Amino acid sequence: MDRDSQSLRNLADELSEDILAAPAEALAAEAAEERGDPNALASAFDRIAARATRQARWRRLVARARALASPLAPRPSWRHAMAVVAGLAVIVVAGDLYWHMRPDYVQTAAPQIAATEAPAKRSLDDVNLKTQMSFNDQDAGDRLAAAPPAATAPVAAEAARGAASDRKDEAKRVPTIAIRPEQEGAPAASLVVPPPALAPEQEAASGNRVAAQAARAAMEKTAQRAAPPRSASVAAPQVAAVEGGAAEDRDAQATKDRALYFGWPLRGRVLAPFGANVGGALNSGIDIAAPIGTDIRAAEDGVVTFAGSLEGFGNVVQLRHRDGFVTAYAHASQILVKLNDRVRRGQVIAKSGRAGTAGEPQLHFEIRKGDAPLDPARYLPAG
Amino acid sequence: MLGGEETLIAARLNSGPARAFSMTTVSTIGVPTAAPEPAAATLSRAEAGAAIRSLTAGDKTALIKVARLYAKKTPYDHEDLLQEAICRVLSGARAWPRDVKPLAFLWGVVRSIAWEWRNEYPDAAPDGADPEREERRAIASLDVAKVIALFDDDPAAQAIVRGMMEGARGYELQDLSGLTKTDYESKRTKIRRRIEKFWL
Repeated sequence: MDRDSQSLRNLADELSEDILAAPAEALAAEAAEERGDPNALASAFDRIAARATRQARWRRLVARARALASPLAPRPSWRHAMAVVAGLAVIVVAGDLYWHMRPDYVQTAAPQIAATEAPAKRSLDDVNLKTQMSFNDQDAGDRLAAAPPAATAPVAAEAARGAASDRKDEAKRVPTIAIRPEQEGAPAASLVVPPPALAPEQEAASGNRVAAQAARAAMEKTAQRAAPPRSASVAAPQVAAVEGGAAEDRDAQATKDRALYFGWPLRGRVLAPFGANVGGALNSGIDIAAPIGTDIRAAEDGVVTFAGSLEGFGNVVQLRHRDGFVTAYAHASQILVKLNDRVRRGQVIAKSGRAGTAGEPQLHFEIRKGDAPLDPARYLPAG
Repeated sequence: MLGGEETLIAARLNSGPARAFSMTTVSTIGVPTAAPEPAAATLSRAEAGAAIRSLTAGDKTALIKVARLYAKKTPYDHEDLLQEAICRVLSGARAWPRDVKPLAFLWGVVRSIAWEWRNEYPDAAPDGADPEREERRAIASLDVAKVIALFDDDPAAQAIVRGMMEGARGYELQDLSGLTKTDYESKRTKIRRRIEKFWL
């Protein structure tokens, strides 16, 4: 530590000793002079202690859960890692051999595939599409249609793995608002709109709702790609159209997401950005400073799915928007909408305040998609 | 010297079945036979919680003020600092020695967390290179200059402040100021109030 920092630290130590030695009456008088209430600072302490108590309880729970889970977790060792690598290698080599040693493949597909690109560099999904495009016969289409499990599995697994990975990353954030949309006033574990129903066995097999959804979407998409052509004459155009359609779908989705930029609910200094440490937890939204009574506007057209009070967050409004987006507005002093109201973008839905545990007047604003909190900065206009 | 009959009577009195009163029995169930266990050296979580709840308004005010002083040079605010301190105590991460008073203990926790946080600026590069280190150093230097300049109108107070920054304590500071004990004490109060207002 440099000399000046040490000087300031020494000064803080000395002044602290004076504070701790000061008579209670003198401290109360100072608090009254500062805040107009001799008990203002003591009250602030009580509020902080209450938050700390909840936080400590949470930490103990987490520690206990970790202690319980630790014996179940696989012990990291190089042998384990080598076994996994070896297993994967065997699966890849066996799959590759199986695919290329099939008699029908060797007789008909191999020459044409060799003419396009090296098979070793392609995934099974690529092979499926490329061969469909290069074969203009009914047999090839039927053969490829008969192979969806092999073709879809890697894609679905990849999608599930990606979704699970995203989910894992998101799980590191401690959600700060938890509302079940259909129950007003009841804090719960999930903020978002219920997802489309999945078959129970799919849910169970995936072990993760989001991963299962992603897997299902990927399987549907792949099934679309792998659908057998109805006639040999239109097979190639159809496949090309499907592939082109998928690309268009992706583009359209990206455009749609970009198009759904939200408006700022109010303007002010950002006190805590997304992911900042707020009271020991990661901020799952942004906190914007705002004088009490400032208009809070709907960030986008939507429906009110919650309007009420939540412990720690005071008055909260939650809106559901299209494409599964959800926004939440906390610490409001006044709520101007009610459950199931339809609101327009820019409509005043509440007045800002410092309700709940907010240290100063502010708006806590969250954007979520599904269960996952999103960084509002990515969806709000710059500036 | 007892005669033969008296000896007989004495022998009968001393024999068990012929006692004149029944013996009182005291149950020993549940009574520890070993020496009592010494009290744990640290407070349990429940005891720590009770101790925090029983702080007086003066203690609470003092802790808030202390947290404000220490939070000044961290990336977080004083409420975060105090909350983290209490949370660590209540979650058992910080052991509370039984013989340390609440105010002194919580002060120590706040102080050590502030120190820890001061070294954990989020923008510090993982390889040890800290691009903003020089900037923080310059700011600290500026803060020192500002604090000293606060007492340009009071040379005695300024001498005390400089002494405090150098790490002088108690009588050393009083000697530096050249004041009587009473004047020195009131001067310290004045210094504290002025710096607190400046840092708020």
